Amino acid sequence: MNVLLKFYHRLGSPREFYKISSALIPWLGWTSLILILLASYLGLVVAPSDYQQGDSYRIIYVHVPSAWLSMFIYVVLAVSAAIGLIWRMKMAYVIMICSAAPGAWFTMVALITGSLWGKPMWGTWWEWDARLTSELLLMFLYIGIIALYNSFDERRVAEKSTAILAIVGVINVPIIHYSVEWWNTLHQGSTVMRADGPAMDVRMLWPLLIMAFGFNLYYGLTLMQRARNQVLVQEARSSWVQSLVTEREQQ
Amino acid sequence: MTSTLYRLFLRDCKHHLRKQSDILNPLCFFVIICSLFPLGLSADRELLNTIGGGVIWVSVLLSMMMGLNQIFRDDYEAGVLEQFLFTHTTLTQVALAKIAAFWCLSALPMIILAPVMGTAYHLNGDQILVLMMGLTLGTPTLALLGSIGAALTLNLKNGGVLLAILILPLFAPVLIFGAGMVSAVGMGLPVNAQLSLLGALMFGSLSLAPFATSFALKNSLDY
Repeated sequence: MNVLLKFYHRLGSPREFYKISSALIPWLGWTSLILILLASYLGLVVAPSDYQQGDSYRIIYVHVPSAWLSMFIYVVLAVSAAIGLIWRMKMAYVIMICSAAPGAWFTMVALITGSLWGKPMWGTWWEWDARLTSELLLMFLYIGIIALYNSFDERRVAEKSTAILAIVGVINVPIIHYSVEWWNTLHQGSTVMRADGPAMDVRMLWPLLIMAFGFNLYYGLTLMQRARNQVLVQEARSSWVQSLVTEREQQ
Repeated sequence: MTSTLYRLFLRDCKHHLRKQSDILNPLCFFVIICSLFPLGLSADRELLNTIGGGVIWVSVLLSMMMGLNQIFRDDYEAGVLEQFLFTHTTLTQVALAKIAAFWCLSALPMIILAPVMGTAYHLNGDQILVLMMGLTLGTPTLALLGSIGAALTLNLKNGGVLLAILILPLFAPVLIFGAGMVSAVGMGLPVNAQLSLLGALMFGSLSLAPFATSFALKNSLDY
């Protein structure tokens, strides 16, 4: 059998997922910790001050990775929703549900750090700029997804309903991304993702990219941990979970 | 197909017309919200002209929200929706007919009332015209997107508030373009772009939303 297909089938089974994630978690945890510490050192100490914004620009190292992740996680959520609906893969729904809360948190962090950054730079905590507003709407979408999932008694119906909502809402993610070009207002344009290369000092850019990667791995870590808990709850009646519990008790 | 849709549409219209509170309550709600804003802010002519387009749009949004909760509920509770599953009529057709009937009996009266409300907010002739054009293009999108939310929350007891949380964020683009158009024309700017975008949103949601709604209905019926 094709290696990739085999891996796909293994990931699709809750039991195999539990095994694989047990091996992955330490790697994800330590790598993300090291990367975040390294990026913090490079960003807070090594990188030069901005000629215009002074040292206060350094909040970018939390703000931008969180904002990227808030959108990336929504895409993960919608893609796993689609996989769940199309191939009826159990684990896809688990990934979808377990992504919602981290996504909402990263959106919240992006909004809060953005507001802290906006006060000294623009002189205002909040501005009804297109990009900020879209991020706020993304937050509402996450809240809607969590609220919808939690209001059903039966998990099977809840998963499918939430998946439909996630796919309907994914239309908002490109709107956020292109809103800068559509209604360009107060928020500065994109400095990293540009066709003619990033308009940023390399010493400032590297910590940002490392931090973004570290945040990504941290998301992977929380996702794995949440998904493991969800799997244990869902499969509580299966024999492998019960033997797992008895093994723990004997130790 | 067409005659099935037409008959379903007539049936839903008749159903709504017999329960007059279905039509009149959201309409009264719309008029009341529009009248509350000047009381809360001020009767200043300039201010009312500036906020008028936005206030009327938000009122339309909220009033449609009130009606959307009911769009499938009567047929769901009577078991009619389940009966449709055993006929040749697809739920997509049922949903499309219901959305059309809902639009005719809830959005259309509001579009007709919009000039009255616009005059109360001292909007000029051009602004009122653009407001009505925007509402005509935008409200079908609201009804279509809202029907997905209504179908998802069909078998929930506390569906009303949840429906608002799910659907109102999705209404934002329509609101931005629709209300933006009224203020743009007030400043003498062209509104072609907003009109085109509203039209695009309408056709986009018309071609996708009925399928999502029927899928969500099947899921809610646990079929």
